[in-house]
Amino acid sequence: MKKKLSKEHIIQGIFLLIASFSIFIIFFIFFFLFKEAIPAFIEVGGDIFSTDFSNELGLGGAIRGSLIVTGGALLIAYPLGIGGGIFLSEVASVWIRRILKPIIEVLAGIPSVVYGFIGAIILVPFLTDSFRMISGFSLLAGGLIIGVMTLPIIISISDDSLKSVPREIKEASLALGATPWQTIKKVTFPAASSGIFAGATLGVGKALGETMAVLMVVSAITRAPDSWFDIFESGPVLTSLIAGHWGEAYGLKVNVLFAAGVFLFIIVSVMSIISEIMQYRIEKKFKGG
Amino acid sequence: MKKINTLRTLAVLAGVFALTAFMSGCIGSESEMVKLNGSSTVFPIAQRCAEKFDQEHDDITVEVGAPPIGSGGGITQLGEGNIHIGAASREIKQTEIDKFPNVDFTDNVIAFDGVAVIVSKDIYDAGVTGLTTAQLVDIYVGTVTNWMDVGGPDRQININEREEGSGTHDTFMAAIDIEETVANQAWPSNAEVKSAVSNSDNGIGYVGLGYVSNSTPALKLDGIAPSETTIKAGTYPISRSLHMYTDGAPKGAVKVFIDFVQSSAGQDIIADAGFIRL
Repeated sequence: MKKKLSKEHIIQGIFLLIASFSIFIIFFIFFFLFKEAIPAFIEVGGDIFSTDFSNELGLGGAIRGSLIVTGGALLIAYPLGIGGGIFLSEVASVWIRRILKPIIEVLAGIPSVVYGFIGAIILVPFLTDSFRMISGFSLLAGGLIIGVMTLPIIISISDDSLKSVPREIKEASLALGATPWQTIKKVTFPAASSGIFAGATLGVGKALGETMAVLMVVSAITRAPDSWFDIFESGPVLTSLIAGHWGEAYGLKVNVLFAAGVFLFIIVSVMSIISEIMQYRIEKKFKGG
Repeated sequence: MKKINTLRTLAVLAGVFALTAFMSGCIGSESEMVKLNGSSTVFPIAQRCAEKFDQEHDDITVEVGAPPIGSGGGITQLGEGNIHIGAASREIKQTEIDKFPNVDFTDNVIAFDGVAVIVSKDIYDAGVTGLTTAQLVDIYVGTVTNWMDVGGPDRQININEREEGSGTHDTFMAAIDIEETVANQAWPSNAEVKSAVSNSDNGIGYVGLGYVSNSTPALKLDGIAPSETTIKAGTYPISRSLHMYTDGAPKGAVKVFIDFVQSSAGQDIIADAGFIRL
């Protein structure tokens, strides 16, 4: 009896060790990231928000670039992704769904470098011609590519959220004489909305950390565009700034790149927290009621 | 009792670690490792030389770090003692020497290279086959924004550059003596500049001589085309030498490798890759 108990303890201990090891790694990354970034915040000070990276080591341009690219991606991914999700779960017939769902799931598994390659070879020349741009390598191209990359994730999550709305609620609405569209608009979609937006936010948060595709269609330029609306120009983005510069950087510049990592971490964390809150709210709404 | 068990486990683990370390030490001594990283311009040379070299030397392995981390990166890594050879496409800066006072940076020139100014084929075919250095400066600082002003078609100029800190960027900027550009894009490697220029009909960019091709023809500067002779003679405005920096005069395995690169066999590889012999 006693022997069994100690065996049990050993197994428990092993699992505890494994679990704490992964937690240790995460804390180590946090610690290292912030430790390396602190000199940048101290020495660069308020200039860290300047848009001049070359001379003042400011990250303002890259933060702005990241937000522009993410904003563009949201504008594409939300309407198309949610529309696609509604179609899949509520409108499509069974056999269409059986064909589309696996295809969309495969799309989500395509490596980002492939998206970047297609973006650089097909999307960029297309943009150059369509908008008569000097060059199609731009923040706009970055937003479009990330939007498309995020699309399959958002479609899948929207579809799952809509499918998880209790059947009784939909049937009650239809029984009261509502048309299928009215049911989707007034009942199913609102019921699933928190889950949909939570998933979508998470998807874009992940895409924001995407580096390769952005680097390939935006380039690793350090000069920031003049305003928030210069989406037809190339500009620095937090991820591509780090990827394009770490090899050549030394001294304070390395710390500034770590600071860029900190900002990226903050933006992604804020998005994750928002999505967690939304998820919590929907659960409360339905389980409580 | 429990405590003793823990101690015993720890002792066993420590033993295993020690054994592993000892064994990997033995393997390490069989074949000496020479680590190299740095400039993306030197990268293709270093890689091909290392391949050939490894076939001929069983006792030495040359590890060319991929992806290349740039001239500045190579010098920094050498200074920090992480690699044995720092490949650079520019001469070391005083700030870098000052940063690592304990490291005796020694320059080994292995080849020459010119930074060629390339344009889209459309532009070249439309008649822009050469620029003066002054015109090149005007384009990169934004005084001239249309190809029409330098004898080309009525098209906006799409300016490509290498990212800040790269040896090619530094050489180019120093040669035409400007501090900042108005480039539309900046790329982390020569190959990406080449592909961006070849995939557009209004592009200009600069790359190592080895990256000039039919789809990205090189311009004459001040009437002089980039070529082996003009670059070695220094008459072409943007020329440079390629270096393998070591800590102190090369010795042992490092010396054997650098001697190989500088030998005629090594120089054949260099010429083959589109660079210029010593």
